[in-house]
Amino acid sequence: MDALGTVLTVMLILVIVALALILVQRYRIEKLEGEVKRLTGLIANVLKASGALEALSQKAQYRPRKRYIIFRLLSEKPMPPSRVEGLIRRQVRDLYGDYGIAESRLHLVYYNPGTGYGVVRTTQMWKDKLIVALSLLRSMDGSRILVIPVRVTGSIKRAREIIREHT
Amino acid sequence: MFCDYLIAPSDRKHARIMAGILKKSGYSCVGLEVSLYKEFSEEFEQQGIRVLPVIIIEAVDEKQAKRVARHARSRHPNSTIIGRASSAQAFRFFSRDSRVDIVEVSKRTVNLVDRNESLILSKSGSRVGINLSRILANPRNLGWMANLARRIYRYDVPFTLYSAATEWNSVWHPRQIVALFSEWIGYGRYAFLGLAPG
Repeated sequence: MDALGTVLTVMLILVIVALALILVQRYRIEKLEGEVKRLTGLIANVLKASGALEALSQKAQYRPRKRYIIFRLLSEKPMPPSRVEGLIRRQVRDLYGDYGIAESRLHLVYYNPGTGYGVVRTTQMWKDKLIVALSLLRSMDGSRILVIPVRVTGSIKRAREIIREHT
Repeated sequence: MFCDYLIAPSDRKHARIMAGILKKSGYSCVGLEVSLYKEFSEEFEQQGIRVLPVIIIEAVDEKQAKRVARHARSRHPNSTIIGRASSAQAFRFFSRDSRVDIVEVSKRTVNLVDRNESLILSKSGSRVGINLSRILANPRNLGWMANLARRIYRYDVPFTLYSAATEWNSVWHPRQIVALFSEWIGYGRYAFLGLAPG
């Protein structure tokens, strides 16, 4: 009886110790998890405040935002749209290289040789660079030209409305 | 609303077309070289654009700078004087001399535009001048002009922009200049400070 009692006591103590160890381990893990969550939350707040998250999310976007630049081309003689697009592409290539052509996603959406109004599509990050490239276009095939930027819009529908207002 | 402190049309036809384009672009005053003032000022005044006489002086050293500045101001007391310096001494002289209104910066003198220059210009009432025709002459000039724009922004240097246009397709629309400054310093509207009259 005494031996049995001793064995039972030892076993009970061992079970209590084991339970205690399990509880302590769980507490430590929970505490560690809690600490990790707190730190990641802190880092996220700092990044958010610096705008880095936004920039990262923008860069990681699959499709960049488009911008439509409305311009007016003043020239000594009328220019066909194909010539105008070729000229703009050549100017962007001269200034920014083949990388510029690729990254800008440049495309002449609309051009009316009669009024001189046109719309060129690019990405949001390249709109100012494209306006600079258009500003440096001053001659074509020996005749003088001047490209005046009118507006920058986010949709082709609004671009057409603005051209209609001007003409 | 905007002012182009230097244009030099080559003939009457260019002057007429320039006047129309500048008026539609929002310019209210232009600077005409004194030698062209009598011939072309009427074309601009018909469009309602105020015309200011402008005289350009050049110097390679301080002695010459002093002489030409005195001579120019005595002969043309009501004109805007633009000083083009080929050396640091002439550049600093033009900056501190109150007779010179605008000191044009070139590739050689761009590194002289600093905090000291800002203080000197604010005391003399002059401004640093950015000639935009250099970009059209050679797009490689965009490099040092970007450096100049950053210095102007960083040290808060008073400045002015002008096209020095000789033909109608050499004028600059304000939106084009805003795009340039947006690329150079990330803040395009700063260009309006250089286009403001007065």
